[in-house]
Amino acid sequence: MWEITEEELLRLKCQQLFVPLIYSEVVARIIDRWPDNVEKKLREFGRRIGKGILSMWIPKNTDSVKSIVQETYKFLLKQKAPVEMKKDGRTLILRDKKCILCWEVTNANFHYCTPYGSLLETFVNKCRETNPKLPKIWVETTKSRAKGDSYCEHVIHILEE
Amino acid sequence: MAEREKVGWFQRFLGNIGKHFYWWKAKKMSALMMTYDFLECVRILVELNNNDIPAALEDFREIGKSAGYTVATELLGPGELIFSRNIKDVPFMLKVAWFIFFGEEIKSIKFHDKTDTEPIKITWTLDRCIFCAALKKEKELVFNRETMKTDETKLTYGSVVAGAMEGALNAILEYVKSPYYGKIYETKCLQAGDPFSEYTAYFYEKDSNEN
Repeated sequence: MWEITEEELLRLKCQQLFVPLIYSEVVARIIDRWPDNVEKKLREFGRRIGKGILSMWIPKNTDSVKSIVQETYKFLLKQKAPVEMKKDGRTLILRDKKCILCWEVTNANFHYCTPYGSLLETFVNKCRETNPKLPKIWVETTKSRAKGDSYCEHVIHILEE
Repeated sequence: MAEREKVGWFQRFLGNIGKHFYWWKAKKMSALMMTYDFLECVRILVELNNNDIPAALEDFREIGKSAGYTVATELLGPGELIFSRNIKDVPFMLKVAWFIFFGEEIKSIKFHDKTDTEPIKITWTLDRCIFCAALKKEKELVFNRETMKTDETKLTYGSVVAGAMEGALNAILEYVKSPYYGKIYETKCLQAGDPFSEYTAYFYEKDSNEN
């Protein structure tokens, strides 16, 4: 069998090019079929991707929410994740100016990158199993290029210490 | 330039260098992310098609065709340097396109002349297939020759890839004013029980009723 091994898959990169084109077509169908549940569907989409990836890869540095988010972004999307903690100490903000999922989408009624928020939420909450000191989080996507913002924003709410 | 009759050694040289440049320049992501992203797209399409897996894969193939056509259209300008109208140059163009799109070399590609029963076709095989890697741990959806109805529909899990290549190929054939159009299917698929992945491009004359 010429099946790819997990080790090879973790090493390989691919073009981003097709992902946003295919994803935006799928989202168009979601909007058409489930107009009242788009956000729920997109969150589920990201959670499932996260769950699947976690069966093969987990961040090495699980010291903090920030480190998990940054390592996950770097490994999966090959880009830096500018994350900053708000003064309240309970909220982190991730701003993404190169979001793939919002690529060339304009004037949308939904944040096309909602799956990235739920994916990160799945990752951090899963890492709590290995590092119980990590807080539980909830991620809310509040801005997106698809909706006309100049960048995508995922707000990471820390729910408990 | 777009109506070049045959690719020469210089175009081949340019193509072989250029594909590495385009791959190097391209924005990339983890193959792991891509394979799970595609799996979730398929899951949504299966749900949208009331659990009809072949219908979902057909839908995915159509989405791929549109994506491939869009991507290739954006690359037609620089691609002009290596295009020709000669159908026998298509294997070379497919190899370059495959590398630019997927970062993988096609190791084996063959041109087959028209026969009494089959149109002109080109077949290529892959050393490894990254597209279905996420299925190893998938429990809910089952993709095999029976569930995909591969023998009747020619559909496989790689239908989106076949569609993307078909879209790209037809964008190029139109651009060089070729008398042919192409259809591409994944003719061997690991999920369908084959030992390796193989794609076949079938070529039909635009004015004929062959297909």
